[in-house]
Amino acid sequence: MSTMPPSAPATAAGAGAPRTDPGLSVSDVSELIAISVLAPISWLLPQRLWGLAGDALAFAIAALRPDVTRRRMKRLREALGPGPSGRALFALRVRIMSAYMEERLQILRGYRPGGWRPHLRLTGREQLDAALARGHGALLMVSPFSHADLVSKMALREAGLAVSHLSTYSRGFSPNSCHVWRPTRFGMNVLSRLRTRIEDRYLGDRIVVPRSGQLGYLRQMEQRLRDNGIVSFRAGDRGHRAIPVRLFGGRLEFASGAPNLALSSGAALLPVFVVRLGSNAFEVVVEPPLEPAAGLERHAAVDDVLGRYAALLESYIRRHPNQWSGWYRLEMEPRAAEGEAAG
Amino acid sequence: MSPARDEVLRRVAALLRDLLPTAAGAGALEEGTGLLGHGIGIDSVEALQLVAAAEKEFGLTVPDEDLFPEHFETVGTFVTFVERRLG
Repeated sequence: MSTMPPSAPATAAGAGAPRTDPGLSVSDVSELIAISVLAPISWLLPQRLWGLAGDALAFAIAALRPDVTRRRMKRLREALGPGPSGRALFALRVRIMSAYMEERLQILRGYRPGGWRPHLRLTGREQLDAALARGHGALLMVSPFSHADLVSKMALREAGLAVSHLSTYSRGFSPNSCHVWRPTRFGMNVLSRLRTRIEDRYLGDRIVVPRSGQLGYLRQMEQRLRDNGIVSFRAGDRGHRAIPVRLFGGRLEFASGAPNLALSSGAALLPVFVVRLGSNAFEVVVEPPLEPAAGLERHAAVDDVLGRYAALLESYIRRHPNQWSGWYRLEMEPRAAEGEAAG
Repeated sequence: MSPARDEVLRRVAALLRDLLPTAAGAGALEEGTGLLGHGIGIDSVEALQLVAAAEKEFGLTVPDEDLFPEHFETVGTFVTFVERRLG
């Protein structure tokens, strides 16, 4: 059983930023402006009003950027089909953006004395205990839902678990900065640390994929699993081999590395979902381990595991569409998209 | 004395076939055959397993700081990586 050590060092996420990267970008400046707006809100506004504040800001941004809003709504329409009204899609677009705002508020509140203290419920702890009882460690595949990055770490820490978290070098403060932003030295060394410094309070340690891409981080992961430890990572497409899976009739890619590591090490691969229950209450669900059908060769087994994960992911997204942060990375196939748009 | 490049290539190819019998066993493994993310399509975990197998096969020790993805671009780049460590 892995328990939280009294004080564990955490690695800086921005370490290794090479001097060849630009120093600053327009995105960094935008993020600084956002932080200057959100920081007073996070410190002064009661937490129960954050949702309203996030909605108001998101509504204003959506209204001021009609071209982006149209593109976002088109993607949501392609994925969800003809059922939802235009008004419902606009509301969903606003709620997704509002959740981004709230995530930033939660981090910024972390710097205020007393910090941010949500009500957390961990469901499925027995899955984790069973995995550790087998002695090969556990890999927690944290699904990309709003609030998951911080809340999953807080809940696991609250349960007394020392988790090593794998992350890529981070580019900024925004929850989705690793997907859309060009890395800069300021983003990696300053903005990203505003986020990771709060998250690291709840981790055993952080394993960072460096900017150079050196694979030494994998040896650290293997060692944690050999020690029957817990390694978490955010399910995503950043990897050397991306496997497409079917989702909402379209496709989304997931990196093969972690499922492959689970198969080769014997560690349990446990999907984790963070679901918001109320304005300041969250449930962190640890699902049963993902296991491939018997007899498959290695690459087919990884494909099979990711296919099972996608089915589970879609069931969560259908129940909590405004909490999934991956809508705009979903690739819809032209034929399906055209058919649905026509409907 | 270090083995000739052809010999290193033959032994690396054998390691790959052991590691991934289906993906690497289908066709000829040549210098230009892609490894990481294309060609055979290994991922980072398999790249590390290839390194572990090569360490055992050739009696090498590869430190973390030498594990650049560029070494796993093709079979040929990995053979060069092994040769340099042997040299």
